[in-house]
Amino acid sequence: MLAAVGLSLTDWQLVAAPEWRGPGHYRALFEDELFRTSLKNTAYYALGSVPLGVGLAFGLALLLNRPWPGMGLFRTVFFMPALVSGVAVVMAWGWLFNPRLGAVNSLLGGLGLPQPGWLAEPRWAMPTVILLSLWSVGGTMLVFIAGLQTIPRDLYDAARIDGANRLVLVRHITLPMISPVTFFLLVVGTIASLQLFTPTYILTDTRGGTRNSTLTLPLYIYQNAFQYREYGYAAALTVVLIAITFALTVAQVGLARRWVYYAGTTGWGG
Amino acid sequence: MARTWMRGLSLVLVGALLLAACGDDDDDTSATNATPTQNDATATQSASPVATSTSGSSPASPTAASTDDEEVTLRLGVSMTPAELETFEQGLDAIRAAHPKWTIELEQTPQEGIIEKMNAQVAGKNLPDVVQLQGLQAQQWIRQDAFEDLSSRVDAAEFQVDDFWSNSLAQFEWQDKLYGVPYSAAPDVVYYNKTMFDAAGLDYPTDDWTYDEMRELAIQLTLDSDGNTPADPDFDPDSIVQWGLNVTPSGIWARGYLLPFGADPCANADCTELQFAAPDVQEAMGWWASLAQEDHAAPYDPYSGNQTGVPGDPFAAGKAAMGFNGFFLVGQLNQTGQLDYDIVQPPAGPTGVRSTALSTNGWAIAANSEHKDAAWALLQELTDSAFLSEYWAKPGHSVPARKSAVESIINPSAAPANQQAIVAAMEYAEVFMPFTPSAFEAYLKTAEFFTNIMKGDTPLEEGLAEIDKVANEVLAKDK
Repeated sequence: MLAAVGLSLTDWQLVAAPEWRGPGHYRALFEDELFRTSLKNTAYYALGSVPLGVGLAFGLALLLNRPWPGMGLFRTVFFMPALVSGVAVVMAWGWLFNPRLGAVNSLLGGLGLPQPGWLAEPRWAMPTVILLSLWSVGGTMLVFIAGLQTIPRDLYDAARIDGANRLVLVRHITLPMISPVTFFLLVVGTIASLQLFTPTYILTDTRGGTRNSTLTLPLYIYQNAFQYREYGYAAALTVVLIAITFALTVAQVGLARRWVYYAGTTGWGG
Repeated sequence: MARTWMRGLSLVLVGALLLAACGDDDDDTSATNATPTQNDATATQSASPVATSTSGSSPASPTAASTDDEEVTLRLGVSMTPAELETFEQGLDAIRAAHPKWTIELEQTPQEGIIEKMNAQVAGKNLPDVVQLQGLQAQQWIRQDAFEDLSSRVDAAEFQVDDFWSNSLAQFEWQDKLYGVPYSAAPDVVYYNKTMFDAAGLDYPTDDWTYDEMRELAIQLTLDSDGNTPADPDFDPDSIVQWGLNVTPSGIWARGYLLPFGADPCANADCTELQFAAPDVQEAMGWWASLAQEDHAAPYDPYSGNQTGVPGDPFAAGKAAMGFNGFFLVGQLNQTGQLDYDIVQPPAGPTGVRSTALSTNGWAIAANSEHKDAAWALLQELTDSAFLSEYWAKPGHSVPARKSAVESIINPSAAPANQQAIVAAMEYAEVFMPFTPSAFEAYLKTAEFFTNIMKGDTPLEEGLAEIDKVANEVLAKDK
């Protein structure tokens, strides 16, 4: 990390020794329209994929955390996609969402519904990538199931005796008791979302999509470093990404005191 | 006690890892070298063009002979398609047989990762002794002193540098010095699908055709899902299943499509300044834009698959009746046998001028090589006329950069019938410009504008001005 900070203050094209530039790259960031676009796209992805992924995983975990026969099979089925190589998934996704020949549009067309251009259309491109992120929701779901199984049953039994319905049980027992798990998944999910690279790299032929609609900050770092050989500028972008990640994590930890409940310790916020 | 023991063990392990990481890997790699056995060598040698070579640098040349006296291990970095690699390895076996004291280690890198790998190797001064490179990408490494200056070596009489198409050398030159030697120089020609022409009842194009004739054919060959052409009132441009032509200008390397109209997007000699917004270039780009927007006869987004449904070249995918493409497609189409096709020279523009893009590939010697003489001898073998004929031209992979070998692409028993069109196009083909180190960055940052212009989303004048602004800002680094 220290090396990245040092490099960000230089002009370096890998072969010759880096030349001192000072904070010039950081000043250039303010004038770089692509940097702003990549930042906006990264935020869009994080705000879309993290709540959706965590929410869906929680819902699935609630459904599959029941003592019914066959639950193990369903859990396996939902988890299996998370085991498939990311590149293979993205390639398959690209075919499914091909605007002309993809299975998704064929299905929509068959139902008489509009057929979006998906990745080819700027307004649909990022939602398509967010949808793709849900493919591996099984991993998150599994963590939630593990968390759900640690909640003492007697809490539910006592609440039921007091007349609580299912919604109340979830609201007042499940959510608080599982909040440390939710907090962990939100922090990890946010960090992962800020690192979005593989789907946009593969689906958009390294370019960042139509009108840069899926150009994320990691992809822009990659372009600058490995395609344009501007390693100093790429290092500056990396430092910014690290700073954003750190700031968001600190903010999440700070906010956690208000909603995360650690049973058996000092209670709310640990 | 146990803790101290564990610490000691950890130190030993870390030390061992460090030694392994810092160690020279030459021994390891040479151990994996696939030097043929003596029997293999003898068997290959008898049929080898290398052994029977008479042009260029035969193994009997003084340089090669002197390097044959000593045992040497040469690393050879390549990035080839599986089909190219299969043929190339046969050629390499022939070279090994002719030079039994050479140990040639082939290092293949998939084409998707070659730039990144070479950048890392250049930075680590660990480039293979001889490396394959695309002409369009060569300058970024040439200007970082990654390669040996070959000027004095190629001037030697036996190398016959005059035998190379002069245009094919340009991308390997820098400040009047030569840093690489091309082995292939393939001009784009126009491929056409004979089945689609027959179905439309149209005559095949001939070498004397013009851009206007190509446009007319493209319109008649474009079909929507109901079989209507753009000339029919019921034509639906949103359901095109077959395009007349495979491309519209999709990036800054569009010069070959504009020169026939008397328009040159390069504002200076090394093309580090572009002028797409100049009136004549604008007019030529307008011709192409109307082909896509008004005639609907060519896709505005040819390669992504978003418009055609199939990523990659629309002609090769059977989605276009005609297509500008390089010689490499001959090998691919003949291998699959899926298309009944022929080729024709690129059409002449309104000015009577023909132009087409020339794709080059070559070899360079790493500046960090410790065996430069042997590497040069190997490079001579790899660019030898007979080697180029046998292992690049005849399998349909590429057009030899040596004039003396170019006719070897002609194979009367294989498609296409009009193979002479490729030889003819060599006379006026020009390498892609710009090809300076930042050209790829300029291309990436402006490709979107071309699509938007061809689609009609951005007005022509505005889009071209934006292309000039963005590209020239990037290319200024190369001046």
